[in-house]
Amino acid sequence: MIANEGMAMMHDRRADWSQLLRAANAGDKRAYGLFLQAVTPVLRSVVRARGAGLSEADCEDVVQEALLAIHLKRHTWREDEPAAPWCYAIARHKVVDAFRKRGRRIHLPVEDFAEMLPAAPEADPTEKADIETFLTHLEPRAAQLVRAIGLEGKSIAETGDALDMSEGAVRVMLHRSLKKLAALRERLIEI
Amino acid sequence: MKTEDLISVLQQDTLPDPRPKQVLGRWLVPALLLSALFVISVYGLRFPLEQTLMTPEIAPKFYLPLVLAVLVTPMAVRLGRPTAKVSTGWLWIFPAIGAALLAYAFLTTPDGQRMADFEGETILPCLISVPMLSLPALGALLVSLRKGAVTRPAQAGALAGLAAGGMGTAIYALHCTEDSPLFYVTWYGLGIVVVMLVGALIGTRVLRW
Repeated sequence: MIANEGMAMMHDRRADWSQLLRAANAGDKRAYGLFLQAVTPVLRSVVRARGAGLSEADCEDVVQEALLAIHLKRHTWREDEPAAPWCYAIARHKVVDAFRKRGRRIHLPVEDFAEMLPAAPEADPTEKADIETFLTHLEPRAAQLVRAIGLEGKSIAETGDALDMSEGAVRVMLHRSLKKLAALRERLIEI
Repeated sequence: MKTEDLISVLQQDTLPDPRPKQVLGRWLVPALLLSALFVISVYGLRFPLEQTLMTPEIAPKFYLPLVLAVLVTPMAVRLGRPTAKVSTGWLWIFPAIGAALLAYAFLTTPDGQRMADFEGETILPCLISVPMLSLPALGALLVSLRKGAVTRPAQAGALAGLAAGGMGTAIYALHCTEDSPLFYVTWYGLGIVVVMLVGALIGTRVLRW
């Protein structure tokens, strides 16, 4: 009974994620947000299951790292393939990598992702974690821009107004900042 | 920053990156032109070129690496996608063909001539030129793979090296006048293997993300 529900859910997940990501590629930001929100709890449960001994905040950092990777590599998804296995492959690579950087080797079969039920989002503990630290390594304007969008929930246009930049410039700077953040994580996390 | 906040940041970033294939298109052609121009202007083409391209015992030194490059390049590019798996076992056909050519040349070359054919006169230039002429193409392939999400860096790097080695060797063959398979199978082959290993080595470093 429960197994059946689980199967049905996984089936839905595959179909839903592909649909959302297709819509996202066509420019639907809301669909993209839903996609990321759907992926997050699955990532979270895999990371928590594997990350015994890591603090809650560290786990959430790994989740964020994987999310960032999925985002920056989204152009490697082909619309004719299911999004879930693609997503798992990216996340698996990133999670293994993130654990290695934190001094642990883990064996993480990609099936773990498919079989994992989403973890209920506990109170999100990472209010002040890594990404905040990394923001300080960006140039001030870029950090300000990311904060405006992330913490203050501003749109591209509003951010442009606030920082006296054109929308195009905001977009480019945002994209570069995210790449930079990913690269900084790659370089700076050595525990 | 909370995960929720990160998601709202990611949501706003709608700039797409170019796909690995597009990047390869941009870099591979100039890379090959660079190597070809180098051979034409510094080494000089062999004349008449038909001798290389049309003589049955000589032609494989150009066509075999060319076919290798044409078949392996798409495999390397495919590994830019995280879910990609490629089967590489069939690639043994290339050493097998090489071995057959060697055996044929061994049997048809008179006793006293074999060593001279095997050593030729340009082992060193060949072993330097093949990797050198392959490097631009290897660079182009690795740059494009870096845009992808490679989950098997060593394999992707090795295949990129194999493909680039094929390209560089085919270009070098247009100059080289060593026509015995005893020479070209051995030393071209070695050159290609070197490029493949270099590709794997660089790949494990630069294809991380």
